[in-house]
Amino acid sequence: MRAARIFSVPGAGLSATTWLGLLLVGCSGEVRSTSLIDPDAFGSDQGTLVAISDVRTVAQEMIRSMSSSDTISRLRAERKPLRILVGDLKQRTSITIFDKRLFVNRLISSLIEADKDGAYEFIRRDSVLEERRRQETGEVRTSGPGALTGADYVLSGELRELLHREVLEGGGELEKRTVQYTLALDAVADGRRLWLHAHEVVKQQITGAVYR
Amino acid sequence: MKRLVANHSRSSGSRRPFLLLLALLAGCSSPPPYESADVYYYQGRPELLEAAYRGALESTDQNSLLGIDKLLSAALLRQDWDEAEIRAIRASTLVNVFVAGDPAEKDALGLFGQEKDKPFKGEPHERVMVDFYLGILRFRIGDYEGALAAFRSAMYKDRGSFLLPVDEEDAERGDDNVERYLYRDDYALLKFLAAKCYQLLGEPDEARKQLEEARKIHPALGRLFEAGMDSRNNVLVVIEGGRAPIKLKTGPRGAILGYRAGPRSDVQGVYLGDQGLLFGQCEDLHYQATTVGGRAVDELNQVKARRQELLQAAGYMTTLAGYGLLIGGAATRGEAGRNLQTAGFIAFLVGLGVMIFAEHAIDPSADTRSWSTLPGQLFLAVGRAPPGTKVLLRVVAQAPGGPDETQEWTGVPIGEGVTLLPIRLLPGRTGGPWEKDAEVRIPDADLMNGEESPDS
Repeated sequence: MRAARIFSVPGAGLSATTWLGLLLVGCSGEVRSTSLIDPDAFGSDQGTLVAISDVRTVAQEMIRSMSSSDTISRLRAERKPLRILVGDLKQRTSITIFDKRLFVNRLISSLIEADKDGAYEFIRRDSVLEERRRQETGEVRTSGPGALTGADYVLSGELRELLHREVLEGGGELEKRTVQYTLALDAVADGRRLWLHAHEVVKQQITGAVYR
Repeated sequence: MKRLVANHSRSSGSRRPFLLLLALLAGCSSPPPYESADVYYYQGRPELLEAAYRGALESTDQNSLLGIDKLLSAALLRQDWDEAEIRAIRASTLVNVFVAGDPAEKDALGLFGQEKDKPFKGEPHERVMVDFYLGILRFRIGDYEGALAAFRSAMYKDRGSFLLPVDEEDAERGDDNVERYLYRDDYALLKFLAAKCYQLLGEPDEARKQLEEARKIHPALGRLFEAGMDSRNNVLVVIEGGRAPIKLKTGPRGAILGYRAGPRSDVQGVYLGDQGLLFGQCEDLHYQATTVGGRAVDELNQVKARRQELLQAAGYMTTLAGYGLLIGGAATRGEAGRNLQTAGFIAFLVGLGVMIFAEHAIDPSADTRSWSTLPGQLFLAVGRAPPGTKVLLRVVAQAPGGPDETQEWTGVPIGEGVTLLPIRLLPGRTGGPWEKDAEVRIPDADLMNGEESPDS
């Protein structure tokens, strides 16, 4: 009863000749190729996962926002370069395939590329942690090139999502995922928030009726 | 339910020669079903299953995810956590991405397609388990953020919005008479593990929220979950027991997917050395498989079944009419009689052809491809042990009315922070040293002399 309303069945109106043709050449067990998804890639350009193109878009958007920030412009005028520690990026979405390191790498490399006048100097958090470990284990006695204490600012970020689903007329389901990327720049000295920008990327996919 | 399956088997058997002939005529090849080597998993020989199914890792056919799912089970059974994570990531990608308008998906929707032609994604409880395993594997290595994403992704797969018929007394003439029902996810174990991840990530508010939801789902396990959140308890044991719910074709012409519970396991005690751990059964996958609202695709299969019946009825009527014309022609003299006989003969053949065609070209049956190496129950045990030590882990278990499934693992390392230990109960699996000395060699499929013919 429900199906008659919800679904249309393609193929029901074929002519007898077409049916006969299908009977002769058709094959129920044929190998059908499916679209190839590369699981080793950073997300996928399909579906609602994070794709590398999203990361590029977000990086460009963050650079644009940083460049137009009066506060950051003022800081750059006062001191050059600004020594920025790349802090933590919280991933709080339900996206299972997400390489945080790759995201941060892309972001920082885009920021460096766009920084033509050398206004920023980024200090990687993992290099700080490694330096601290080496100091603690006695491998080195002096701190690295300003790695532990030299940063004036901390760049941190967060990924959050809104997931919306709705049933479609044909029986399938639309999944719309809005991923919000937020970056913030804080002063190390007093914890003041100097800049914050959020950018949303909306992606959607349809789960066909056959999967519901 | 059993009777329906038996009927279906007879029907399949009678048409097999015809289908084989068709397949030969058309020169078809089927993708591997990844099922013939399942037996090795239950025999505790996962490396043989891996040898048989490893083609799935390179394949893009509609069954490849099914093969990868089972390869994931095998790697977990071998306690090859790194390999298991690689397979879980791949499975999770395939489970989470739906390519709209996929040709095989469209074929499955068609009257002449079969549901089993669609790329396998699994039913919701199977999709949940892909991300559950990914979460467990990440939690083990301290990647709580990655684990949290996986547990939350798993929860989303147990939610749904379905249009279901209203009660008969509420039905109105001319109305759709359907109501939308929302199904909320109810895996308490996922909620607890998400709560633990939040706690370890330093987000106590979110942790409390998830813990509260876990307690709401399973009030009887409140104490166990509380103990799990106690930071002094640094050992979590996640125990898989029993077998996956068994998929059945039910309803008219097998158009509706049904389930039967698989054999189960009962955990009777969990010990770290002499210390008894608090434990409880958190999930029953048969319950989960049968409480997600229903499948829209069952409706499609039933439409196909009705059209198949209509077509058969039309064929039968045409055959009868042809037979009538044949008789009438025989009784009529001269050319008119011969013409009538010819027309009757043609109609008879066409009717017969339509009946045969409707029976064999349309398959409305539900897709019963199944991740058969999944467990039936999930248990959680909570305890504590000094970090940096190696302990004895003992899980006392029994299949009801069946064999003893007790396992004893020696040299289980307790790390800094929280140690998560995944355990799979199987008859004949008794434990041993936790950390293996040598790598397991996975044999070539074509060198498996004397073994059951594998899928490849």
